[in-house]
Amino acid sequence: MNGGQILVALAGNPNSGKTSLFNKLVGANQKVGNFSGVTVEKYEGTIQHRGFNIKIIDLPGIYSLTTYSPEEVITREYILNEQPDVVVNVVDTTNLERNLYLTTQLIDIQANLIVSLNMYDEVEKQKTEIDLDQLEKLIGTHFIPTSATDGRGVNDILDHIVELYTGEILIQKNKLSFSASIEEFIDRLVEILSTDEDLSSKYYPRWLAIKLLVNDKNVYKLIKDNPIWIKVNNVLLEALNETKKEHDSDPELMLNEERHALVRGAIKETVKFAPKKKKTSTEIIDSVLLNRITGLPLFIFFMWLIFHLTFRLGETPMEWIGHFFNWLGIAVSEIVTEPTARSIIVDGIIAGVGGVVVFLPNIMILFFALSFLEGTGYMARAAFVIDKVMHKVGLHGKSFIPMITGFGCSVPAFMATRTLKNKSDRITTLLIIPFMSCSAKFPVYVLIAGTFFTASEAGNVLFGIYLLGVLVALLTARLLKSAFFHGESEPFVMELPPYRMPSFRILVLQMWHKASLYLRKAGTIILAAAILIWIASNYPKSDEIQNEYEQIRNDVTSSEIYNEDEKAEVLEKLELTEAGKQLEYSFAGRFGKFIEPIVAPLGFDWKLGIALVTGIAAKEIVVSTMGTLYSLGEVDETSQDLRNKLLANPNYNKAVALALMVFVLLYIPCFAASIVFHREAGKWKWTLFYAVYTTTVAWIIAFITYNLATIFYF
Amino acid sequence: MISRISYCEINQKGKVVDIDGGIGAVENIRSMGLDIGDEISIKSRKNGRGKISVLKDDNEISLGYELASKILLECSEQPKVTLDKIKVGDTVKVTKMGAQGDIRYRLLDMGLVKGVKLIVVRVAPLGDPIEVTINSFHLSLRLQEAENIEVEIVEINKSNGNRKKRWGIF
Repeated sequence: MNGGQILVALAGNPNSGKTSLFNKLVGANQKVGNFSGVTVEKYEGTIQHRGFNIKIIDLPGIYSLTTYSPEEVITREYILNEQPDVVVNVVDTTNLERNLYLTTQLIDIQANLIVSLNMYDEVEKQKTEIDLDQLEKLIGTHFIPTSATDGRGVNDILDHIVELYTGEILIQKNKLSFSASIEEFIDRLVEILSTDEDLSSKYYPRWLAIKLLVNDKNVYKLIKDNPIWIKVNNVLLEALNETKKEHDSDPELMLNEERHALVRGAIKETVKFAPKKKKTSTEIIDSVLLNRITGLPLFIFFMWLIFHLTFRLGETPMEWIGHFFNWLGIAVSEIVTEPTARSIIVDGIIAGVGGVVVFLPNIMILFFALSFLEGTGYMARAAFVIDKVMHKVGLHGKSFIPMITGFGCSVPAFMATRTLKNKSDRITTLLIIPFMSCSAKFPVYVLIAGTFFTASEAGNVLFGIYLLGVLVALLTARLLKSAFFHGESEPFVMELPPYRMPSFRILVLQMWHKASLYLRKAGTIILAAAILIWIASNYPKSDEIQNEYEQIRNDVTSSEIYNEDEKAEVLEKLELTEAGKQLEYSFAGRFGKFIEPIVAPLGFDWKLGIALVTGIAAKEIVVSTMGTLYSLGEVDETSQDLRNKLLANPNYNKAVALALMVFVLLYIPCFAASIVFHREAGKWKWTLFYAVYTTTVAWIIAFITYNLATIFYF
Repeated sequence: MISRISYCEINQKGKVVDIDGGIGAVENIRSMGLDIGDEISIKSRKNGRGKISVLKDDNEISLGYELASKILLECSEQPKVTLDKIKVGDTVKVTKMGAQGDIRYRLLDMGLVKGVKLIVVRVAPLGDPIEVTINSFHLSLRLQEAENIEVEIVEINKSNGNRKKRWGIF
């Protein structure tokens, strides 16, 4: 039997257990995507029930149906435009007052509404009694006790959805009545609005009227160009004047107060609260975690723990991934013998895929940890503890976690900015993360500092570099906030939810969703970019160089001065020199030479130019490029040969070394990071700004460093 | 009407009825020449959490904000005070929501409307933001945002009973 498809939307406050209920309803049949045009995640799943195919959309958590956050706009537009067959309002029953406020707004919008009284088991445990029948009478919809913990009510909800769809049960669409003076204006507005048939068939006039009275920007826009606007505006002005005169208030404030009063009244009549315990467990935990003395050290400890887990624990699987792709490369090289094809497959594709997959351990661990913090309720506390510091540079407390994650890797750090709801906070945080020195830059510092400075100096130099990054980041934040965002920042009006233990299953699911989003949305482009960079550093090949070296090789092989061992050694050296020459000849090499005049004021020669260009692929490549250019083959940052070569180059000195480290610290992050940045920032404008800004800042500060250091050292 | 000196407006008069603090605070206040039973008036006060000067028999006594918040006054009238000045533990009722812009909607949606009762639960370790309890849930907001919320005192929470505890961590 197939009854057709029912579209259901879940709406509710953040922390109302909506996600848990969603998971209980649909199980593993879910997928994640984005709502179009915004970086808000959209979860949807399907379930079969009584022959119907029920598709459930988990709308983002919101407190109200206004239009002050993207989440609110999405929820509202979804309900208005997609017109789901049923809207299930998930309510945290332990906190009815705040949760039912949203319910009243969902009633206004005339959604086909049922309410899931979630976390009902907790209410029972508290011995609070709720008169459900009376509540239904007062608010005017169906209330179904549910719990994601013991699974109760899940079937009831599904039954209700089906029965509502088939018309077996009817929910009387109540309207909430406000005070007489407000109702009068609502009636008059409804009358005017109803004259426009187009409008009133699309939207429920009473809802439009209420929204007009509370100055809703989007509804204003909707009606502003309509001929009825003049009449509407007159009524609105009158309402404004009268409420001012009679109540020393405005319609918006009055509606809001009355809405809260309605909810309060309904609760008073239907809920019998158990006597309050002396201290709830949340209060006890907070008295330690938010304590004036222990709060800050514990916060720092948790942040350190996340960082450590993400990057230390991530190191081992990252090594495995590296080994696996190396092994794969070797295995493939044995099968594919044609040199060009082999190079494309092994150095281009396999290395490229490896370069995408290698970030997965970091991303998965970090988001597991962040989901855990969010799920327990500590995330809001973390923001609470550190907000004062972040607010000084115009940011929100929640920017802290993405920022410190940037010290490990920009890719997960950029992705972590999703916890920031405010657009200006997000963009600013995204733009300062590149300056938090990521771990891939570390080998470059080790090589350069280790070569040009003594061991004791090198420590200070490294510390100075990291500090410089943080300073530039903070200054950038201030600058951006005042230049682009007029100092606006997200209000810190934030709920500190009760501590709860998140379900392990959901944590794993969320981690997996993040990983798959990364692979699908960023991975493919990163792979393409990696292949392009590979082509740029391998092509075009110079036949001339090849012939020349072929000639020398032949000479060496046929010569009689060398014995066999010496011949092998000389041939190997020739191979390396040739690789260096070929790199110089390639697109990347030419580009490095081309930009030499630009980097010359920093004391860099064309070799450093090439190294920096290839560093856009990945920062650690700066080191291996220098190895190739100095004809040393595969080297790492500890290579004594490379250090000797660098020291032997008369162009290099301490000033150049410092400028180079500063430049590597500040210039545009690697390709993978830049692509993730673009995905998160969403607009080309910002990606362009990011590329230009980081590189310009890098140049200027490296220039200053070079000149100051030259004065200081010589 | 019991209030704290830190809640009072300039020129407001009152009688010191209690000192809400440990033995140290009591001694400190006594050494400045103030004691229970004194009639005083507020002479001047700096903005926000600044110093407060009071007059006792024409003698001016300058008090730090923290200390001033520990002296309980019996006043004839309810002082007008904003949420950012409220001491941890005290219960207040919102009399006017003066916030504008984005913050206004957030606060309204969270239920911060006229007539609602709030308890200030704690101040963040670095001094800002603050945490309040409202309708049985916990809300945090910055002092800067709390500045625009006018409140009246419902209940002063005297930590008197805990006088012996010098370390009031928990």
